[in-house]
Amino acid sequence: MERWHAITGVVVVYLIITLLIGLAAARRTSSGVTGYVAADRRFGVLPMYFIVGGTVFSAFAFLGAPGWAYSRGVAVLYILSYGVLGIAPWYFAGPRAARIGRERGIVTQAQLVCARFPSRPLSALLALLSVAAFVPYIMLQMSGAGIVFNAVTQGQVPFELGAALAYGVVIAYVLIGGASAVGWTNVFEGVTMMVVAWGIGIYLPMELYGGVGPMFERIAEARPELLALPGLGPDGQRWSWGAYSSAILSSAIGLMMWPHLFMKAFTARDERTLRRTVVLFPTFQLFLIPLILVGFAGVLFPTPPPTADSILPHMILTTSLPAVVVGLFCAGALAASMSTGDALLHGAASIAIEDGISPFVRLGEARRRMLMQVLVLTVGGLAYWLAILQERSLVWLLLTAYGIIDQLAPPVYAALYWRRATTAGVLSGLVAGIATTVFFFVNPALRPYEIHEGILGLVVNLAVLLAVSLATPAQRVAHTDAFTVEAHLPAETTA
Amino acid sequence: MSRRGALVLFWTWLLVATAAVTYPGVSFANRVRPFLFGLPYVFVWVAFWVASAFVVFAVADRRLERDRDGEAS
Repeated sequence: MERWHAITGVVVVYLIITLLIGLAAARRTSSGVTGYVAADRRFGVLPMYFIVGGTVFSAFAFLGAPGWAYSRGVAVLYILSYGVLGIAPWYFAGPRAARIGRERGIVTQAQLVCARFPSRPLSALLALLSVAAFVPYIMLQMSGAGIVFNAVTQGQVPFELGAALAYGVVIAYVLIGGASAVGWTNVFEGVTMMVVAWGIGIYLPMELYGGVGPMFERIAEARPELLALPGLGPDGQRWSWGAYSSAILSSAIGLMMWPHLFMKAFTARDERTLRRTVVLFPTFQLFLIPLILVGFAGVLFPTPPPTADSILPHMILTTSLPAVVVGLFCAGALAASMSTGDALLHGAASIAIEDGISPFVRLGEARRRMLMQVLVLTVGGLAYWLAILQERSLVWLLLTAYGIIDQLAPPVYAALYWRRATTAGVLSGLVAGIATTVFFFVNPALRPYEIHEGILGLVVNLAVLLAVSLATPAQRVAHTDAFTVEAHLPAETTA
Repeated sequence: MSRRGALVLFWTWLLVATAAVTYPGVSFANRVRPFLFGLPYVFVWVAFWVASAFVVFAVADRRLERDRDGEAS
């Protein structure tokens, strides 16, 4: 048996287990829209922990974090920094969104915002933004799967086939099981990616340098510039503090505003579960540490990888590891890709129907669920086709996406916390914020102190939101109180 | 600790941690040595703030949860 047969064998076993878990989960949900989109609001702490962790950390973290550490040194610490800052406000906002969701049958972020600020253009705009931000993100996940598969089998499994295998499984379980399948497969995928990351992160520095300490001693001697913040920029020159700090802020603010992550609030069993998920999240976040160590292990590696992002598979292949371990690594990387890709596919389909179509056309439950499944196939197929056409040069799309996603923060927080906000204020703030973000993305030289365009957009977004809201008539108190006042009796009981 | 104390702890932590990992806060910890657990000092600094999140969230949550139980009964 050739080596790549064994590697592929391990990966195929992993894919089969994932598929079986997804199909088993599918049998446990109701056939309605709430079942498909929000898994009947039944997830406890264990699945929520892996759903949030697995969805936040994608193939981008698994391959990108080592790539950053390798090529840009401690600049990579920005990725480690923002997660806990980003999830903290969720301790309060998540449960509140979940409570309102339960009371009003809400299953998406845009439905929540539009329940407070009734406006069909706002709903359509949010749906459009979400889907536009998701497609490149899904493509990136698919490419990640294809690249890893291709690399570990030394080209025996072509890129197209690897991506098709992994995402064939994802599409199958998302199609049949919806949020429930996404959730339970994420538990398995989350465990896989964590175990693999810690295993490799400790093994590689030991094997190559005799430990983490000796590794950093040697880097400090040979490449000291890699160990001083803010690290190196994309051009290999010293990065700027403005860019480093605002990357952290922009990612922290945007983190839970990603619509596919936000809507996970509606899948939790109760508010208590959501709070516990936030409390436990930092422990998941620490799994970035071994991945960063792997990247640093590559700095003094004798042969350079073809691209910075392939440093991890490159080292795995050139240090003679047993085939089973290489297969497990591949499964870990696929798990990182799939546990994000499934939420994106599922989110894109749910949001397009619930927020983009439903406000304009009257559709029954069964019809909506069916349309979502058609869209899972369509979006999955489209992203696959685009990913094959041009697998690179997508990263820039994803990075703009972050700036755009930041602009969703004012509408969401205004809906939940600011009584005086008005529909006109939110809508005009959002449009102004997006225009500003896109402007500075297209003209990066005009940014003051290289501050991230998403932060600049937020400043304008907030200013317009404040000014227009105060200039337009306030909403009725009875209406706003349902959103901005904490319920006196916590709705913790489940029927 | 009072309910108010738990809220103050939570939000103060968020402000301090944000300042500690961004400029100019993080520049004061921007050193390679001394190594801690084999890692450069600044690496441990950032990791410390991530780990501290878990402790602070857990402590604040415990206290706030006690209140919620009180309200519900």
